Amino acid sequence: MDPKPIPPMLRKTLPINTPADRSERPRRKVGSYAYRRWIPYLFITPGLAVLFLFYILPAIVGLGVSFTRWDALRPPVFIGLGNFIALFQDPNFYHSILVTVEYAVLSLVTQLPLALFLAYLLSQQKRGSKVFQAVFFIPQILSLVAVGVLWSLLYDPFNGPPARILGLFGVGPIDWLGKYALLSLVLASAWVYFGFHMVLQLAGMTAIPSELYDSARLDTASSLQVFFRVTLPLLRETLLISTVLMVSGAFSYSIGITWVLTRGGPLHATELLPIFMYKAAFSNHQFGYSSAVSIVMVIFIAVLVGIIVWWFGRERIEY
Amino acid sequence: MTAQDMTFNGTRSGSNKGYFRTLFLIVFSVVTIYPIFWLATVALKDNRQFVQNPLGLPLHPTLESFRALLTDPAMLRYGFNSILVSVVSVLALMVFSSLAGYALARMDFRGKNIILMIYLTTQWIPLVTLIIPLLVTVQLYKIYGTYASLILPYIASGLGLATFMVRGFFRSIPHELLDSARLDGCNELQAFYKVMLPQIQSGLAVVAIIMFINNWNEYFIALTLVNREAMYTLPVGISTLSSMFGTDWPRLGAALFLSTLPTLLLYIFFSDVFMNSASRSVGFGGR
Repeated sequence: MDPKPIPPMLRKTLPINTPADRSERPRRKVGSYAYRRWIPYLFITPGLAVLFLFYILPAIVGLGVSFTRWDALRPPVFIGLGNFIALFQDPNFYHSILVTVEYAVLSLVTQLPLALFLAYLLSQQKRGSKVFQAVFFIPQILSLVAVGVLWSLLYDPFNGPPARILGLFGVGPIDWLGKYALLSLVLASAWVYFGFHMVLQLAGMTAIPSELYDSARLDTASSLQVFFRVTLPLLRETLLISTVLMVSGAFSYSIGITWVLTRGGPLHATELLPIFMYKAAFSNHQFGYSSAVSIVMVIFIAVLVGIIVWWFGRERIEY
Repeated sequence: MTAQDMTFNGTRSGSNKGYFRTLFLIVFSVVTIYPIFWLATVALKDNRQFVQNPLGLPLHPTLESFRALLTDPAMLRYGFNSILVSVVSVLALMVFSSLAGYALARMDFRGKNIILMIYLTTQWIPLVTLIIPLLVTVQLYKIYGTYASLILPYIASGLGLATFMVRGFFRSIPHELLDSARLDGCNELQAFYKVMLPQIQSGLAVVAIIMFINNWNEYFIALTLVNREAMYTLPVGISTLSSMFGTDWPRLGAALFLSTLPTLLLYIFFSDVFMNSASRSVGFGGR
């Protein structure tokens, strides 16, 4: 953002501020030091207080609760690492990790190529590029409840548009949220997020200096070769951001759309790790166990993000 | 360089390839927008029209579902709750983040780096992992079941991003401005309030829009930390409606539309803000 022009009342004082005059500035005066020393804390305290009381302290409480057995009715009982030991023996836990990884991989392979392809087309598009971007981005601004309810209507086996249209071709009712629940979920969330990733990749593409393309074209490379040899390697940074967001999202905020659309069902078919965590607390009243899951979740995210960043950063490309 | 310069595959507009590209983009736009369009047609039908013809255009469009919702005291209550919670938390976020962002951008003090670290770290802990501990702490603070139990966590969850954005805006203002304000006899508070803050108005608006949409759409905290129906926000209200209304899809469609209206309006007027923050991967990750 560009700062506004300097107001006229101040402009006349500006030339005074040459290095030679620095010693004359009021803050160096005797007494103003003591005054200034507590002022910064006045500025940061309100935010820090809220952050501490409603983010940091809960995080510490969560860590504490994870070492207890607690049903929220009786007082918590300290059981050490009991929850974590039970967790790593729970087949449902491994199952939900598997589902989460599947969800993350499916999201990556559907959204990234689509976002790249659309960004590539838009980078070539002269007319209406902004309008197309705005249209592709719309699903992103809907609340995940709205998206979930909307797609549960779309997926209705009798009145939903896909069912009706397929019905015209004699394809019987498809149980979208039954047998194909995970795929349907991935499709719905791809509809929400592809526009965001497309805008991100497009920003990365427009940041690539055009001279690189000129020289590539002189070498008579085909446009497909140019894309894979020039564009893609230079999109490293935006591709990294998209990948990190999708993978960490699968382990955290994927809960919103999943909860509204499938509640993790049928049975455990779409029980992503955050859903597993939520159900442990609010369906089974195992708050300690659930907290242990959330601790493991945060560690997973940190490790996965670390691996992704390392993988993308193996070789640096200078241009 | 603009997007227009990037004709690196050698095609110019006017070739067939350009037309195919435009055609493809139009088709894909239609596919993208179709679910929302269909929902609008559903909301404009009455129940009988919908059952007879779920896919077609509404032949006799009616606003009956919207009227029914807007006269439903429960829905109005949800709407009021959503507005109250979102507006108050955004206002508080503006105040807290501009104060902290200013101090972190323009002041030197002991512990500054630690505070920066704290802000960064909290951004890496997803809000969903804090649902249970938030429930515990909110009860501990004796604010369970009040608006504060939603507003304060919303402030805390948006604060990291908002503060870092504001800090960036303040850092882009030339140093001379602050020095001259001090020379003119402003004390630190006046310099902040009268000189520095007006400089970042448009940046603050961006932060406000992003924070408003995140809080307006938030679901899980609102679902968990609210213990009675009178406190439901729109997302929670609608998620319960969807099981309550059952087959009354027109009513459900209208409810989804009404709940999306504020964000949709913001999007129509400020779509550049959304694109810019998305191209810097800021803003909507937390939901």
